[in-house]
Amino acid sequence: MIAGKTWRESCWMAVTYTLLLEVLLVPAIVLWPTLRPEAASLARMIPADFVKRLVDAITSPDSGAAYRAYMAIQMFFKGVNVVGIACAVLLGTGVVARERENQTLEFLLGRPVSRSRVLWDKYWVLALVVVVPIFLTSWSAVPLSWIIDHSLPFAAVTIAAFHNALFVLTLFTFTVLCSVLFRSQVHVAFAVGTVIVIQVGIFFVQQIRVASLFRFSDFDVYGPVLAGNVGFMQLFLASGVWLLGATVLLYLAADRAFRRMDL
Amino acid sequence: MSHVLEMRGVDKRYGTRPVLHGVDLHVARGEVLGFVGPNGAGKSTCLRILLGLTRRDGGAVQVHGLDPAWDSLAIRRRTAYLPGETSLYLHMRGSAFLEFALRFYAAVDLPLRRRLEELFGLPLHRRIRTYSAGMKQKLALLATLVPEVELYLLDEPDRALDATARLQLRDVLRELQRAGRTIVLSSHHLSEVEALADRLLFLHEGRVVDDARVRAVRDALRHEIRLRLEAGTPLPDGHEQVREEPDGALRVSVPGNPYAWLARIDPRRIRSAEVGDTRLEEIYKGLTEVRAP
Repeated sequence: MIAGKTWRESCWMAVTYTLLLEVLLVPAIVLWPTLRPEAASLARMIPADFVKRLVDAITSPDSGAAYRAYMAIQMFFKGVNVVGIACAVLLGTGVVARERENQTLEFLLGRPVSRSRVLWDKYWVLALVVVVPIFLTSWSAVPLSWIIDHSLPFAAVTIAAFHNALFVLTLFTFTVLCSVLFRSQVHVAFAVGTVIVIQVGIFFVQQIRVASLFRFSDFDVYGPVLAGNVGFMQLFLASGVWLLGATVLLYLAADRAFRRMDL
Repeated sequence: MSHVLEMRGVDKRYGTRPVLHGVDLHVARGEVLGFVGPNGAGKSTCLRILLGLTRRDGGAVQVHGLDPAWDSLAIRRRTAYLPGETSLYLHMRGSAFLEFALRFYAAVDLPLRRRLEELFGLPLHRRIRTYSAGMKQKLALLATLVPEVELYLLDEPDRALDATARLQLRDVLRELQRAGRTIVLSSHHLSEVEALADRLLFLHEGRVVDDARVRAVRDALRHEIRLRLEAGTPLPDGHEQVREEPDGALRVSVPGNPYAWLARIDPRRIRSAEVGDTRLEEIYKGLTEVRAP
């Protein structure tokens, strides 16, 4: 019943978020033939090493490889990392903090239902809302690519989508933990926003980039996957397992904090 | 007589601020306990501790023979709770909210549900955000009173209700009482609590006030008259104390029969007179004064 209610409250968000991802994806695919000749001149303007690697890949003489590198940037590095994380933070912020702010939490927790059950029923529905659109839009890129006479390997797209979903899920779970710990949604958004901004900042500084969480979800991860050089197990063991572990730990911390929370 | 709930020496503090000091209370099966006290006295905290929604810092608590710190869920399966400062899911329709709230319980009293729906006359097809404060409170009451449980903890159930709805609520609670259910209700309306409760418990600054002291204060108040007179009307002799209130009314303390004293004033000069005012605020004020050395 909590799951059903949570779904009804968040289904519009799922649809909007899916459409937003798709809206970003379609012009990116359609504009590729136009951008392709200009890519080399863009490359010379960029200082950081990883961006140079990225531009080198999309300027590759092999048009198929260049297109797959380009899609790794557009679909995962840019699209999901921006829109997916925004959606995850928006949804995760309210999980507990909104109930507390709206003074509905005491009514809900006064019913005969365990706190773990309340959190889990809200969590899994919203986690699906965050994750499923990543797969749907990623898969839609496969037939969309045929419009411009290119192809994307379905299996590689699925592996990249899985990894990207795991990354967004980790940030979503971190937001849920903050939603339990902080009393208002604004404080949650501020805390999570601060962490993300700092992480993005670190990512763009060459010397300290290695310390950024976004290393788990950048072009150096998705490029080789879409190029077919990295398989599922290789990617999962290299970084997916850390994301999964962090997600589980963050969820357990949120569950514990929620069970111990005083009204 | 077996106790449905019992608190012994319960302490609670929020940060460094103490909220409850050694609170003792017990409620027997089928009893109705009126829980009264000013805002911030600790009534809501007591109710939350009984359900395990808030952890106590000291003392012992048993509800249905279980400790809420460990068996909160089992207690809530046998208890219905109406929080005092709560809001409902405003985006939901009344009927959907009711289904949502009742589905948590193993059994609901369907005839009572139908009767309350009819009695309260709520537009259940409408979204809750369009409800008035009184309608929201009626809906919260419906969601709380209909589950078939042994114990009802009601924090200010008459909040935002008009006089008619209060009478309706009183009837329903009496019916539950006759059915052997145990009820703990807190309220600011002493008359409502008195009309229903088998026993009153005063909570003041986190402490349970001694019964004898409450009786002494109430007896003293029975000799007080709150009076509004035409300007320049003299007061007859025989009163002990006169105090002017902020709204211009006089509070006169009379040692003997207050009605006999009142009869000595020209009735045409009296704009209003209330004898034996037992408003809670006055009792609280009296309790504070009695405690002062």
